[in-house]
Amino acid sequence: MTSRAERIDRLAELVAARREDGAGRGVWREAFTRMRRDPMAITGAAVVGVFLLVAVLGELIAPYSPTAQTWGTEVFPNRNVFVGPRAENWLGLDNLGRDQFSRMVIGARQTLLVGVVAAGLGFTAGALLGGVSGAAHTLGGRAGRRIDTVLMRLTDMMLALPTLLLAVSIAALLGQGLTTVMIAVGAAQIPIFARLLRGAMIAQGGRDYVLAARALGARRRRIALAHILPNSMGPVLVQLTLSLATAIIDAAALSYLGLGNPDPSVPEWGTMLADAQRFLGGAPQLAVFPALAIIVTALGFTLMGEAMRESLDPRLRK
Amino acid sequence: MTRSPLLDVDELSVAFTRRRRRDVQAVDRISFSLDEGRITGLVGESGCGKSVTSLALMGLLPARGVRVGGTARFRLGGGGEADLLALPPARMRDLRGSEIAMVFQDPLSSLNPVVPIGRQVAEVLTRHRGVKGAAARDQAAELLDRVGIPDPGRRLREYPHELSGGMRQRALIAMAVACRPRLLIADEPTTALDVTIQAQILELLSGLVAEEGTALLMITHDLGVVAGLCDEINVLYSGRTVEGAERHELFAAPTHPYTAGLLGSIPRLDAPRDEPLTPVRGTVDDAIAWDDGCAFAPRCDRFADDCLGGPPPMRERGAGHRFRCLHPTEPAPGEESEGR
Amino acid sequence: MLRFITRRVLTAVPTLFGLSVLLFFWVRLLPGGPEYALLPEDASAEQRAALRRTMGLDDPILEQYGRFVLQLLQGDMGTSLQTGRPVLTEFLIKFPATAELAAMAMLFAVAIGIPLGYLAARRRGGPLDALAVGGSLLGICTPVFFLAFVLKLVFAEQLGLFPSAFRQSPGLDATRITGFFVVDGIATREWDAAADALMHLVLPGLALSSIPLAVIVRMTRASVIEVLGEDYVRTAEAKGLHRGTIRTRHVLRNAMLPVVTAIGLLSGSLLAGAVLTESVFAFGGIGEFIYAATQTRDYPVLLGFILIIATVYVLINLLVDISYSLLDPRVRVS
Repeated sequence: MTSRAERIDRLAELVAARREDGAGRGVWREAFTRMRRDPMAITGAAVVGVFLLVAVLGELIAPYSPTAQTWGTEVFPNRNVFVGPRAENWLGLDNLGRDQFSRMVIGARQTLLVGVVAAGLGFTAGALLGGVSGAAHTLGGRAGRRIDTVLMRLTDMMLALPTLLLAVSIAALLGQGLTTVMIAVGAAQIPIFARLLRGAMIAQGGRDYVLAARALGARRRRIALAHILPNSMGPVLVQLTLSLATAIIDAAALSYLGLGNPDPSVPEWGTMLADAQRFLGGAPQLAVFPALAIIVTALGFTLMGEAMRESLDPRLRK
Repeated sequence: MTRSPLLDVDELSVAFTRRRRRDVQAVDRISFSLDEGRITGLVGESGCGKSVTSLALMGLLPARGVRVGGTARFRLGGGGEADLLALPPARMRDLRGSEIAMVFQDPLSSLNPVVPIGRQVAEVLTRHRGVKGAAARDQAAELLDRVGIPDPGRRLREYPHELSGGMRQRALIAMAVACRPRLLIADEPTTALDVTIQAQILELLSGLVAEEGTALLMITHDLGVVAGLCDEINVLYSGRTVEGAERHELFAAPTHPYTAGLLGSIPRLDAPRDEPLTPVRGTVDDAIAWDDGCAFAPRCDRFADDCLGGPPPMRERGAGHRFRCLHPTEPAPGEESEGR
Repeated sequence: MLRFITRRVLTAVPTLFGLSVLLFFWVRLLPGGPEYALLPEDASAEQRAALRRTMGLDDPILEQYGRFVLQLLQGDMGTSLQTGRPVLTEFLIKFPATAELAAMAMLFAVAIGIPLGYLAARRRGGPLDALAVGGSLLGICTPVFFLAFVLKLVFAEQLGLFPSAFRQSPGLDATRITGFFVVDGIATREWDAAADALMHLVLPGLALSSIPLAVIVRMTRASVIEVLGEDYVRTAEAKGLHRGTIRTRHVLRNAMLPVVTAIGLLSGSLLAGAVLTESVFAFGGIGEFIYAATQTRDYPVLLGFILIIATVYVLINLLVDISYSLLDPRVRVS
């Protein structure tokens, strides 16, 4: 007869074998493990990875200068003479006889810059607005609700101005240029971030653990910063990833409207696409390559954002 | 002459298949039968497979990722017999709501929030009885009245969120009994309700069963609920029946340590005041696979070496009293009590 | 119910008032006033100053705002500096084109998006679902103006299936009543005119619908998946109801609630997206006019148009909220 201790050990083993999934891991860590198995997330991350690599390495990859009109004598846009892809120039020449491939590679950096700065701007300003609003609503009592109402009316107003019109008027105020595009696109994103963070914070503010912290006499600033805020960041970070995609697309639209970068020496995908519309009949490749680049990059960020959203959303977990 | 039971469930199994992982055996070869005018209880803690059993009988389990085994022979109203587990979906759809109906646990989430109560009651009549328009509305009002909802004419136009919890459960019951089903399944019908309302709902159910001669399958985790209600009780643990008997037999001689434990954890007015309640220790998660031995072993005080030698067989003890234990708390006939 | 509507209308008022203040000061901040846009480049500084004076641009800014609000309340939004016509008149002339275009785009988005989203949810994980999800992601990530160009190039210029520009064929003799060409054609029974206007709407409508379509597909899909898991759908199944009844009364009625809200919010992006689509198809709506106004610093037009668009947007969402409260009885009580 085995001893009681041995029997209990055997039982514990069998119980553990039946409980396959360990519980109690952090939300983010669990989300990350889930994302590593998700083909959507992997594809998105791969695309974004290649894009980042090209943007950083830039000159090391580009075979020629993006601005030198080396083959200027071979291209005559007004006579509809263009040079398509060939061994020397993988993606052909642009309308001024510059190497299209080199321009695409160097252009990645500017595009990334526009996306990151614009989305970062929208995120920072929006999160500030939404964070103050959410904290005031949940913890500020009557006065706090009033602050929240005023701030939310403000975001309502921004939301009522169609994104592109807001961007157009900002661009009209600041003049043409890359900075303008970044500020305009970023400003248009502010209300989304503000609403998301506020909503998430108010939802968290009603949770039991916040009530418990308040009952224990924790200071309001600490509750807001240590409890509510970190638990509310999920949807906002998802939106940040998605915003990188929107920013790149919106920037291209502003370039198309003639509000983008006027400096031809710094190639940028949006501007390249906008410029190429004029030659769509004779040289569609000039528009198709930057358009594909924009679409694929935006898809990469969107896929990552969506995968992140799904892995964080308990309702969508199987 | 013995007539076959209304519903004869034989070795019902339900497994959920998972990608790249082991299947989950939610229900493992359980058998029981139901008869007209009788109330049968299916008792166990959450996760024991009782709700899955009811969904399997209703044909409401998802089509993908589920494997169902065994038979459930149901005597049809127009004569003849059908295996509920093997009927084509369209035939099953005809039976649901007319011959077999179900009352769910959470009355608020079980009612469509954007459709008036009356319409939700009437649509069953329209579907199975072909009653439409004003006639359907009148019958729906009658039904609401029958389940004890006051002012049914006004309630018909109200939405679920405008009703109290007890009223909602009454409305759900009205929908279930609308077509006078011969089999009614109630899955924890009182769990989401206040204690005072619970008794009223149980009374309503047992009254309806007595009047109509319906067979009622009562699914609950609460032995207190079945004590006053059920004619026969089956106790489930980790997907298998561990004990089954007539109510009086079961309460008089609980034989499986799990049943005994459940009974020991109910406060009783007739017990001596200084007698402590004895809860079953641990949780349902502290179970082992039946193939390794008795799933209840980790929580059992009577646990011995032979409990880990595969699943204990079902044994008989008197008329219709079945139990699945090698070291029962009550002696089986012809055995000495172990008397620990 | 009436209280709900009144309260909802009242919350829209401060938003609109705030917008008028915001926009007014915003527009005055724009550099290079109309004196640069209107006068020739070689005009003298005195000439420019005189123009500013006569236009009242040198008065204290609060006085200018007061004047603006007073005029606004009388329905007077000033005069376009580009054309010399009243802003409101300009808007009424241009608006039908954009409204028709936006309506067409929304029609495409709803008529394709909701059934597709529903089917994708029902066949979750299948090939149709993958197509719907992938297609909608692609739709969101494609710049609208590029899509417009591609559609125009392929279907208008290469295949010649649809006209490539304008709202109606130039040579067509059509009666104008409302300015909505399709409506006019139907009202006057000039069927060829209506059909012609409709053909002109197809390509720009498709281009403009790409984003709303993608959003509606995704929202419908997500919403239907959520509703399919609800207890009341299981109750409906337990009642043995027909699939069709369950689909319309129990699944779609609940699943459409968030989609209705999304449609209201999307109307704003439609008006903005029209700026891009209209310029590709030379459609002559408000989008094109606003763009021209930013180039010429046409303050009154810029201010007036954006204000009207914002008002339209707020009103659309007001209507959406009210219709939502009709669809969802739970909202009415609060």
